[in-house]
This record gives sequence, structure tokens and C-alpha cells, in this order.
Amino acid sequence: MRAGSRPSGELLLVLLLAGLGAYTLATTPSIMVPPMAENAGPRLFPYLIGGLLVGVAVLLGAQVLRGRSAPPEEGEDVDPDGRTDWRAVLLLIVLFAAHAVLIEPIGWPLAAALLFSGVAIVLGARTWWLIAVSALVLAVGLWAVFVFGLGAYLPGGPLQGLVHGLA
Amino acid sequence: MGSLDLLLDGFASALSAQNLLFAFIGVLLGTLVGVLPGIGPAMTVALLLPITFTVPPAAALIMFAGIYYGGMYGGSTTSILLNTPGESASVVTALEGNKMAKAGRGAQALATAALGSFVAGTIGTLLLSLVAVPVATWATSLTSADYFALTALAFCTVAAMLGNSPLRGVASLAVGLYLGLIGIDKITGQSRFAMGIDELNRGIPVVIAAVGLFAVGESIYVASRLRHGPVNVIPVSRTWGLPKADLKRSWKPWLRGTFIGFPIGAVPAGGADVTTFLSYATEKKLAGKRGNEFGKGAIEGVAGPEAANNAAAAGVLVPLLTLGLPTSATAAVMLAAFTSYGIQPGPLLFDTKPELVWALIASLYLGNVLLLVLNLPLAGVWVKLLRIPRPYLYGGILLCASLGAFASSQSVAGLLVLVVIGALGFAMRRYGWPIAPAVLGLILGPVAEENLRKALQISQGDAGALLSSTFSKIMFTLALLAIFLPLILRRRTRSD
Repeated sequence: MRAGSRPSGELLLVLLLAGLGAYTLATTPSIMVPPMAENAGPRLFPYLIGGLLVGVAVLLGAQVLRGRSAPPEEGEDVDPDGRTDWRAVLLLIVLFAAHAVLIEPIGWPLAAALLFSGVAIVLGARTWWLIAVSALVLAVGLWAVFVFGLGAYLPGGPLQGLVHGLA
Repeated sequence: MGSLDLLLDGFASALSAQNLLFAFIGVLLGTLVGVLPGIGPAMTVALLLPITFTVPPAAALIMFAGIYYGGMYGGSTTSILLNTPGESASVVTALEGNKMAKAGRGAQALATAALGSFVAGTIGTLLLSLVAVPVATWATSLTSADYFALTALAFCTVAAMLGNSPLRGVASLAVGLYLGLIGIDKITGQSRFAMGIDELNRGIPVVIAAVGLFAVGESIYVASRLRHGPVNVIPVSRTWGLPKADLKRSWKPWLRGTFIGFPIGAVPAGGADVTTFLSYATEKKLAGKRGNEFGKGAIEGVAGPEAANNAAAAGVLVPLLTLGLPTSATAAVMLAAFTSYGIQPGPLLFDTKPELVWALIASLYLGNVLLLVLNLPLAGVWVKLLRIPRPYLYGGILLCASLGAFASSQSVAGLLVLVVIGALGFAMRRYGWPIAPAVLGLILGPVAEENLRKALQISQGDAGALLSSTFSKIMFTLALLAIFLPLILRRRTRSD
């Protein structure tokens, strides 16, 4: 590590990798081995991968501590000089998890419309009518295409009742 | 029946009105999604895959071929026309294409990319139809040990060749291999690493992992450092087609790109990225007195890499169809697609399901033609897509991710797994870990394990059996080279 520089957040990711490896090595002995499969059984590959995880974590940890990092991924919409906006990261994860949990009670179309508007607002959209209209059109439109056009299963929530009422 | 008859039968099936419609929809959707900024070919294929689940297998394959080539082509439009120089260096086309667009030659850049993709895609598909059956016949003689050696080679090349840091490639691969362990062990039926969650016993579905790592991970990553302000799309003139002077400069790079792309795509060597870089370097070297145009908008620098990219896309199908081995992230998602259509790629595929394979190959030819017909006139529409304000674009991408994941997993738990994998994908991008090795590890890990254990069971635990055949010796030697050659080269350039 260079003097005065903060330890990289990558260290957390490396620790996670090491933890995953340790967990793999620790739980592998509890995998049941049927008597027929003693030779090259279900524990062999997990041991190899657990070892690989721990080994890579150690080597990578040493690299990170010596301050050698890789450039973050580039992309068309990515500002390379920008700082990581952790608030946006957290909000997006929470929004998506909330969307997943809401599908069963309120139906996919409404849950999807909420996800779309939430993401748009977090990323800086402020034209309220446009957000509302595009969220509803996209969510209900895609739902209708998938359910009626392609015969997929997507819970409709209140919309399902509405459609059945009309039919 | 010879291959040609089978191919003609394939054409007859692909050319029926219904299948033609599906091919058209596939190309249209593939290009549409592929054009969207931030969406690469692997993500396009993963996002659109669930749609194909809802139609019969033959139609699904045909639609899928369209999506595959459409997604490839859509990406190049994005990198040529989005005004963010330097940032899309991972897409070689952008190096010269973007400069051409800025100099008012965007239409020509798009045209040479479209025509080059067509030429390379067609020649690539032709080569695929020629070599597929011989390779499949040869592959029936491969043993489990040989297969294990092949997967080992694929792991080493993918991890070592992608991204700036090989060690981070290995880390990503290890994460994927771990995800592949989760679920019921195929050979003995034991539950592994499911942490008592019933949902996990079925394993992590490849679609969920791919959509999570690519679509959700990418959206969160872009959100974390979004480029604010207006979207800068380079305007394109309305004249389409390629002037004679440009055609003269383009056709040789197209052919060279094709013959660089196809073989490298066909062997496990790190996928399409490597071929585009090689083609770019070749064109730059061969340019002679035009060499100083490179970096300022040389059309050869668009024509070659675009052709190489598409030829590699056809080349990747050789090991995928004949050996059942994916060598790129996109191919890994395709393998998942085939399995879900009830098709098991591998040496026996050409014997057991000839009508489906040849319909697929025929639709690859058709997809290429449709792509050309669609893209030259519709380029104006694609340009408009690039202007979608980013908050709405990423809202839409996440909505489609949820749709695809839910439609394929039918459960809320699937979506929660998707968020966790998405968060992981974000963290990996943030610290420069390549994503593709994780997807390949997830899908190839179980293949490697099965063959390793079968080989060891036959030899009664003698590890020497893994190196018993000449083929496996060659594969392991290449694997070692793939790891150590870059290290040696790097050390040498550093000491210079």
C-alpha cells in the first residue's frame, strides 16, 4: 500500500472470495458420499474449487495490498472520472428487491411500473408525467404481450380481474 | 443423406412463412436491444432468451439465430455513433468508427460494418456447415479425460486472455465455478451448498446468472457513475450505401477479418475480443502509407474488426454444436437456450436431431441477409434509440431483466437470487474483474466435474489416466502455455 492512501474497497471483495473458499472447504466434508461413489465422489470437485478460491484470494489480496488495482470497467454511459455514487447503488438494489417481493401481492405490471419509475427518479429523471406514463405503458404493454401474445405466466394482480371483467 | 441435402431441408423449414416471420422478429429484436447503449451481445441474448421459450423449438432456434447476429450488429452501431471517445475502447470498432462518424463519414462506417458483417457472417456460416459434421464425427472418439482436458484449456484461456488482470479473471472464474456447484450433484444425487434452501437445489439457472451479472450488474454500475448531461449522438447523413472508393478499401479487410475471426472463434481462445484486436492490428500493419490514417478514422479499422467479430460468432458455434463446449459468454447463454429447447449439443446432435441443427444453420444464412436488408434502411431508427434519456433507458433495462428472469424461473426467489448476483456483478465491474469467466465457469464447471469424475472412476482413481491420450496431453500443454506465455511476455515488456 502506498503511504497515506486508503485501503481499496476491493479488499472487501477479496475477503468475500476467501470467505466463500473457506465456507466451501468447511462444508464439503458434510456432503454425503454414497458407498458406490467413494472413488472420485461428490466431494472431489468442491475441494478443488474451495482451494482455488482461497488460493486466488491470497494472491489477489497481496496484489491489492501492494496497491496494484485494475481499471474499473468502461462503458458508453460511464463517467470514468466520476466517484462511486453508493447511494444510487443501494437504492437500486433495494428497489429491485422490493419489486420482487411486491409481484405476488400487487401483480407484475404495477410492481414493474414502480421499479421503472423508481430507477428513473434515482438516476435523475424529474418530468413526472413522462415517468408515470412511460412506466405504465411499458409495464402494462409488456405484460399484455407476454401473457396474451406469448402465453407466459406473469401474475396480473388487480389488472387480471379487470381483464376478466371485460371479457 | 449428405450434408447438402440436409441443409436444403433446413432451408425449406426456415423459409416457411411462420419461421421466416420468427427470423424477422429475432433480427429486429436483437438489433433493437443490441443497439441500446450498455447492452452487449451476451446481455442481448440473455435478456431476449425467455421470449423464445414461449414458441416451439424449431421456431425458437430460428428466432434465436436472428437475435444472436442482430445483437452483434447492434453493438457496433452504438460504438460508432455514441460520442464518448476512449471509453468504448473495449469495442475495437469504436476506435476508427467513432472518428469516422465525427468526420461526417458515419454513414460509410455503418455501411462497411453492415456489409462486412454480412460477408463474414455468410462465409463463417458456410465454413460452419462444412466442418461441423467432420468435427462431430471425430468428437465421438473423445473420452471423458479428453473432455476434461478441453474444459481445462477453456478455463485457462478465458481467465488469462480477458481483461487487464489475469488474476482477476481467475477470481471471476472461481466465483462462477462455485455457483456451478450449487444444487443436486448429477452423478450421486446429493444436495450440495444449497444452504437448506429448496429453491437452490435445482441449481442456479444460467439465465438468472447471466441476466444478473450482465443486465442488473451493468445497470447498477452505470448508476454508480452515470455520465450526466445531454446524450451526445453524432448525426449521420442520409446517404446510404458504400461509395466505390470505400468499397475498394473495405473488401480485403472483410476477407482478412473473416479468416482471422473464424478459426480463433472456433478454438477456446478467449472469444471475439481477441479476434477484433488481432484484425485491427493486422489492418494497421498492412495499411502502408495509409497507416497514419489510423486513429483518425481509417475505414479498414472498422471493416476488418467488424468482419472478424461476426466470423468469430459463427466460429464459436463449431465447438458449441459439435462438442457442447461454449467458448464465450454469449455461447454459454446459447448452450442454456439449446438445453431448454430439449437439444443437447454434442457429437451426437447431428445424428439425433439433424432437422433442428440444419434448420438452425439455414436460419443463420437467412439471419445475415435479413440483417443487411433491415439495417441499412433502418439505421435512422437505431440512431433515435441512442437518444433515449438514460434514466428511462436503465429503468427499462431493469424492467426487462425482471420480466425475463420471472418468465423463466416463475418464482420470486429467482428474482431475489437475481438481485444478489446483480450486486456481485456490480462489485466485480467496479474493481475491474471481467464478467465473462464467471458465466463460463458456471456453465462449464459441471461439465468439467462430470468428465473428471467419470474419467477417474474408469481408471479407479489413477490421476495419470487424465493424461493418457495424446489429445489430452496437447490440451494440457496449451493450457499451461495460455497461463504462462502472457506472464513471460508481460515480464519481458516490463524489463524493456
